[in-house]
Amino acid sequence: MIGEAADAASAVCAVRDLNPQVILLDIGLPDGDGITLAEHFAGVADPPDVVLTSSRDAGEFGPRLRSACARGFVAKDALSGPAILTLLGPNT
Amino acid sequence: MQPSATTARARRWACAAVVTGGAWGLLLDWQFLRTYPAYFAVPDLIVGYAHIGAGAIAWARRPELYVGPLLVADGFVWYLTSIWHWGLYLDSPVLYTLGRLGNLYVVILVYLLLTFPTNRLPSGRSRLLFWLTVLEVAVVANLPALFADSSPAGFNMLLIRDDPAAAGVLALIFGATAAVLAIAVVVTVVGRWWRSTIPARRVLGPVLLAGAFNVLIIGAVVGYYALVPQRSQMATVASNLVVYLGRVSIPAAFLGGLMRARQRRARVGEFVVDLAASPTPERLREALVRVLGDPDLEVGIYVPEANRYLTADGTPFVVENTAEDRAVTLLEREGEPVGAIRHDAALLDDVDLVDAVRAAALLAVENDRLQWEVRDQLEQVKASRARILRAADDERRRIERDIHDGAQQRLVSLSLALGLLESKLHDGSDPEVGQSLQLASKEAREALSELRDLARGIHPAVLTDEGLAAALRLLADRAAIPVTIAAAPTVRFVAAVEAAAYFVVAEALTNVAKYAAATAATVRAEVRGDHLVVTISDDGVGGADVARGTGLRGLTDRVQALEGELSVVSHPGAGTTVTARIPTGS
Repeated sequence: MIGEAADAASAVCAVRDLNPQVILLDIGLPDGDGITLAEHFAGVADPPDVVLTSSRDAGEFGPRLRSACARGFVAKDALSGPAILTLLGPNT
Repeated sequence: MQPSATTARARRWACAAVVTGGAWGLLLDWQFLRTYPAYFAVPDLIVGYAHIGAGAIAWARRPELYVGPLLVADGFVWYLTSIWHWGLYLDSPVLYTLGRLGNLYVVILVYLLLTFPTNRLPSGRSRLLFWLTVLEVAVVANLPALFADSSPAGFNMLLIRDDPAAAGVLALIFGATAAVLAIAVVVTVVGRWWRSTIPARRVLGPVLLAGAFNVLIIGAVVGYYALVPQRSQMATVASNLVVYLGRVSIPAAFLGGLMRARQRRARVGEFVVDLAASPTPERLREALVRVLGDPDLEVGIYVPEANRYLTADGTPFVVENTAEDRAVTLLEREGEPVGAIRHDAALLDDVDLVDAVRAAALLAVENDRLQWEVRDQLEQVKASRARILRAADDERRRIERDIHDGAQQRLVSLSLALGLLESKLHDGSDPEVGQSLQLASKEAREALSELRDLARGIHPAVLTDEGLAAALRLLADRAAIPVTIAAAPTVRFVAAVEAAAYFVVAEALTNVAKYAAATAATVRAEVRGDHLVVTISDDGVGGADVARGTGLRGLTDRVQALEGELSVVSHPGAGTTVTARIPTGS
């Protein structure tokens, strides 16, 4: 793990500075929402892989989550290294 | 109006008057009937009966007026004129002389003419006329008898000395003054009729007609007697009959006048029905004008805010400052002013009519006020129902957020911690602990899942965050049977509208799963005009009943609180369709 950010704004800075390969992004952010932020990250040069997470479950976000620019969604209570790796797929 | 004790008592008096009057007339006219031809005596009997009969009817119908009793009294007094026949029969000069009392019937008649239908002499002139009549009947009419005895047996007890010349002069004086008085009375009544307003004229009209009729008859007869000194007996009988006919017409006219006033009163009932449809002050005025026949009538409605009366067109209505022939009737409810009517003062003579109109008008004004009050209260109730619903929704959202931010977060942390522990123990050094951890982890996840379901049931976050379309999608995904979302609005609505639509779909889908035995359901939510229309239909067994489940009942309340409507069509075997129409503007 190369960095942490407490909100959307600092996440944008951190991504620019650190240029990570994978971002675990909470949907419920204090200053915005992760789904929108993921869209932003998809637009940067050499975009990182985004895995969304939330303490709510996937169904509660409706169709937006399904069409989000992310590799997938893991509920927070099910978070684990293997779960994220499964989502990222074999080529990582 | 209820047949009050007064009315019942008046009816008994009227009956008694008829019975005793019948006997009294027969008794006093008995010698007249015996000694004279029927064409003289019978009309005399009939004139008295006409007075008593008309008086009795007037008494029973209009007990509050003096007209009935006075007409009856007039009838009784009339028969006193016939006592002289008994005087002759019983050889009694006293009885013979008492017959003169019968002339007093003229006094009562003149009083009635001058006052009808009120019980007061309206002007100084009419008072003077009345007292002159008393003087005429009591004194002047008897002066000739002081000097001449027309009785066959010297029965005239008034006689001082026999002086035909003096008697002739006094008789002439009496005749002249009587004629002048009669004309003066008629002129006064005509003048009163002339100055009267329409309602009063209607009452006075028949009396005036009868008066004119009598003046005409008497004038004609007197003229005929003067021109033709030698008359056949036929002519005498005929003229006598005509004079009696005139006399009979007078009580009939009084009764007629009263009955015309009464007709008016009967129309008050129609007036109430008339007004019930739309009781506005202007309609009230129109109806009152029609019922009372007073085109100048004004209606004022009391406006508490302004502390004064206003007419229909908004101009002030001054209760005081009333002309002499106008009167103001106040409409009050429990001592509080409601309205006022300015009308012809003559209408006050009919106390019952004024009471009936007052009651009817009060009813109309009150009805208007009550309708307004009910509408106002309904608006308030609607507003408060919407407020309660909004408050409840806000509360549900708050509870959902509290669960999410509190217990749910802690359970998430717990799950995570358990997961971490599990991964640390992955080496399998202690399989027993590993198993326990797995169990604990599973329990925590189930608890979390249940808590989420609970929170979602209270208020789905997706609805607040994403809107109706996403929330409906979620409902469809979680339903026990395949649910198609055929249409869902992309726009957002007021929170209460979205919540109502969401809960209608949620409850309907729950019912589908519980009762319908359906294989599939379709949800359709779309904007039609200014309504959001939500339809949930299934292919199940049908036969659902709104009254059965509290779920649908509660939904109906929720939708109605937004001034929308919920309908359920559920024919047995033909599936169930629940439709909610919710105004989007609320």
